[in-house]
Amino acid sequence: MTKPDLPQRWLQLPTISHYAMAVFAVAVASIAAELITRLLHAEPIALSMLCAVIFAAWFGGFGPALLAIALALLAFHYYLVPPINSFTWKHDLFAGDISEVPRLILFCITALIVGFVISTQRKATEALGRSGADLQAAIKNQKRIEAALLHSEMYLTEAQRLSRTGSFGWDVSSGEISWSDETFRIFECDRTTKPTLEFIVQRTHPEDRTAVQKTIDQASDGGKDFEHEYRLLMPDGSVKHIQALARAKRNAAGNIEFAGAVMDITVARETERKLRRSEAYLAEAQRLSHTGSWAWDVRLQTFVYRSPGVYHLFGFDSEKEPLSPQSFQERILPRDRDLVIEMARQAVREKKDFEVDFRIDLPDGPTRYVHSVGHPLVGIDGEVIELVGTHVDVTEQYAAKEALQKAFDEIKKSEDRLRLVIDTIPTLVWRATPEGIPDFLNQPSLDYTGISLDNAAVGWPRSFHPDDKKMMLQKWQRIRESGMPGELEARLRRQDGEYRWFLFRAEPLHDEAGDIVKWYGSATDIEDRKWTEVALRESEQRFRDYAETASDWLWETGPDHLITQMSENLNAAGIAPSRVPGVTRWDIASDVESEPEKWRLHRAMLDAHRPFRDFVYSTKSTSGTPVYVRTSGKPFFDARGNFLGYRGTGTDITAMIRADHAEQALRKAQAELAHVTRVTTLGELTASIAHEVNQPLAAAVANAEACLRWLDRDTPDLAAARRSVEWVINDSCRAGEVIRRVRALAKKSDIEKVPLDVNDVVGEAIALVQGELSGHRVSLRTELAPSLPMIHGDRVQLQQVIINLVMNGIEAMQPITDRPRELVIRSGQDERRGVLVSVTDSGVGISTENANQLFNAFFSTKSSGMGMGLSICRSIVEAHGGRLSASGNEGPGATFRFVLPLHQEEDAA
Amino acid sequence: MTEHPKSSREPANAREPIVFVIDDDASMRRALTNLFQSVSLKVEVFGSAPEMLHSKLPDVASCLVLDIRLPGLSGLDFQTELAKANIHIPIIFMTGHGDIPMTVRAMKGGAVDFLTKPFRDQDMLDAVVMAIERDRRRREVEKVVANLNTLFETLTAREREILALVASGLMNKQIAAELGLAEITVKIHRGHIMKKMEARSLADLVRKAETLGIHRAKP
Repeated sequence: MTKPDLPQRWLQLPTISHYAMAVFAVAVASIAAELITRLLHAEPIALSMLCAVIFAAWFGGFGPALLAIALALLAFHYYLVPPINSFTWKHDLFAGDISEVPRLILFCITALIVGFVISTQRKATEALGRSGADLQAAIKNQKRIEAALLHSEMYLTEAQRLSRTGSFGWDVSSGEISWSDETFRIFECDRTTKPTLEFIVQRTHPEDRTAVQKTIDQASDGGKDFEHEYRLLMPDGSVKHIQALARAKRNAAGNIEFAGAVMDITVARETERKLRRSEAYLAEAQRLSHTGSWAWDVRLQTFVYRSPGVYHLFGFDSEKEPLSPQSFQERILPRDRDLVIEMARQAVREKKDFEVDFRIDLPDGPTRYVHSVGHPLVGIDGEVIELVGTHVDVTEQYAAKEALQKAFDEIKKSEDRLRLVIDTIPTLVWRATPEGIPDFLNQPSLDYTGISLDNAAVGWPRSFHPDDKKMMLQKWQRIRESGMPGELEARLRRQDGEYRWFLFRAEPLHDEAGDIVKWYGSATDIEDRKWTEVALRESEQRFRDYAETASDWLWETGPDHLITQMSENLNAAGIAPSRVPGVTRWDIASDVESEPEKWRLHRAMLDAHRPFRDFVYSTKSTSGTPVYVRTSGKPFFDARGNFLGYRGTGTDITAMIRADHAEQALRKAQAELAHVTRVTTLGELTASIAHEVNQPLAAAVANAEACLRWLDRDTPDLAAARRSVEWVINDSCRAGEVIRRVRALAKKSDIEKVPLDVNDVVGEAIALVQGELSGHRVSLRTELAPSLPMIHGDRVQLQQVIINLVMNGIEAMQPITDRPRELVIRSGQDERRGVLVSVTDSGVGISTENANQLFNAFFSTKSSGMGMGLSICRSIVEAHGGRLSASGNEGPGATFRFVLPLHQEEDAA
Repeated sequence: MTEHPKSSREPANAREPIVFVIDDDASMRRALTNLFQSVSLKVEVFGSAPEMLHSKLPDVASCLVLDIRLPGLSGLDFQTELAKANIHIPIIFMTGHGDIPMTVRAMKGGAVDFLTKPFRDQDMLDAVVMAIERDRRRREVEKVVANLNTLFETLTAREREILALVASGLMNKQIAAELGLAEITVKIHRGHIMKKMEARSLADLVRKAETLGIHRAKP
């Protein structure tokens, strides 16, 4: 094999190299010839040159051989130039010996022949080698084909098996049928079975037998290609779908032969059936869910698939002619159309899924809302070839959404309303976390405390009154621990710094698990209520105090007037409290028999359910001494007005009654004494009184005389006479009046208190002492306040007081000669609205050592006086509820004044 | 009352005597007024002494009926006051109950009478009439003196000097020597004096000078 390769290789070398090789060969031959000549002294030049030509011809072909010949001839010639056969320098290259020319020609011919032969030989050898290689390649190819065939057959069998496709051949004329292994397997019979048409028909499903028979008949008659599907009924009852197809061809004998394939398409059919069913399901599902699916071929710019749902959605009939994309587009609301197209384009451009909502305007119906989702399918070239997607009818969802939105709006509105309510109710509303940190305060809370909502967690607790804060935190802690609604009261600071009482109520909000999510609460201003409470408590205490201080004990009786309750302090009065309950008042009284009328009235009062006051009765103490009791009571009723009994107070007035008796005795003695002093005073006043009586008497006499003279005139003046007589009467009456007053003072009469004008009393007293004043050359000045309120008193006794004071004043001025003796009587109201009477003299005044005992009984600075005057005066004034006092004047003299309470006050007291 | 107050206001009756009454008791004042009017006497009443002093009193014969007991200034004190003031009105005292010292003091003070209330009307009227008469006489004397005084006022200082010397009984010559004048000058002066004093004679001039109480000033 190598041999044929060599020339091949050589041939492949460039032609120039062949020529170079020729030159080289000649060069080598020349060198070799030279060497041999020199060493062996032979003449091998021709031979070696011939060798060079052979070499060139063999390896280079005839061309190089010719070059080699030419070169060899030159080399030969060179050698033949003298000095012959030497390789030295030759002077004349053309100075050859003619004898050498034959040699050269000969050599040339020889070389040409050899060269020609050799090159021819070389070509033949090359051709031979080439054909051998071709043969070998052919053999190799044959072997490969055989192996491939073997494989192919194997593959075919395997493929048939895998694809459940069997092949068959059918010679119509001979009726011979040949099956492949897979065909046997499809028909489920072993290879020993002879396949016949009858067998095939028999295996065929009874329903398909007629069709199969018909196909077979037509095939055998017409010799045409056939393809049919039918079912096989297997011995085990299972059904197989098979598809058979065959090509008819004529064999060498001219008979029709069918070659075909039988495919078991049971799986495919089953799959198809399932697919069809699932498609139906899908369609149904799409119909029910108002969903349609579609596929858009980007390159064709058309929908390659639309599910019935899509048609339905767009209001088209899927059964009709396929519609152009335009007709679909037109159904999309113009406003949404561009958006949809743009979204689709964008999806294509960016190879992204897209979602878009658009509306469809159906000619006969309402607007539909469609939610479309698209997904681009990218081809192998990286470009989007299809968009597939679904349209979902979301009209109802939209409607629902809108309704929801509306509902939300409503909720929002109602929330706003609620918030409005929360923010406007005059109650502070708050919310706190389960840990008790406030996280919401309504506007009133914020307004009240002046804190901001952000600051609620810190600011709210700080707004509590420092005194309440600790208590509040403890209680709040307890409420939270209890997890139950609770309340507490504390003071909360208003933003202007004022603290007000609030009632805080907390209510927990639970989640489904029963854990507390939030605490909700309110705070109500109870400042006023608090004050009312305090006021009520105070008032309760006050009335208790009143009742307890105004009385000794408190009692309660039932509807039958039996005593039901009695306070403990009863025993202070010496009555055992244990004795009392369960009995009536008249059971324990000791004066029921002695004063039956009083008790009769009292019981009538009780039976009439009328309140009574200051009912006095006597009873006996445990020690047997009489006890006087004063009691007051008030009936009480239930809400419906039913009489339940009496409540009241009782007081032990035994001591009071005894004191009353003593006081009465004292008063009597005082009155006696006052009378005595009065009479004494009158004695002192005799001269003055005489004057007072004389004065009107003198006037009367004068008038009477005048009367007579008027009458005795030549012409009696009767008018003047009458007038005179009237004056006589007046003056006489006046004299009688003086005497009456004197008698009144002298008379021993009981005290008789009546409403009085103090100025009248003063005037009457002055009338009695007028003479005394003149006699002692004392001028009297009166400064009486007009229209004074009435007082309540005894006229005579008060006159006595004034007369006494005037007499004292006159007496005090007796030693005075260097200044006018003036006595001033004033009346007026004092600062406490009592009536004040003062008598001011300009006498000797009061010495300090006398001031203290001035009003004492039997104290007198006068040698003649009894010393009872001022003492009696004070008793009288004090018996009238007033007071008598004396003081030195700023100038000379002294002032005595007494104040009497007003008539009204007398009543009220 | 109707006619007499009227008459008191008439100019014809301006010279009628008046009875002044001071009593602090209104009824007493009324009664006395009534009484005096019943005998056609003109009356003016006062409640107190200062009241009277403050009123304008007519220059006629009058008397004062005064109560001893008066607030402030008493009747007796008022009598003293009047005397001090050189008012010489005759006074009749009244009193409710007089005593001896009081009466003595009153009479010493120049009282016309002292009546005790109640008094008889005749006693009062007699006393009043007497008092008025006394006052009238006194007033006449006073009138003459007043006239002389008026005349005396017209004399020059030298004439008064010479009158005093004439009244003391000096002769013209003596007077001239005394005063260092010529006798004739004195005579001329005396002539003027006689004329001015409306003296009819020397004796008349001397009497008038005596009435006026003119005496020679002691050297």
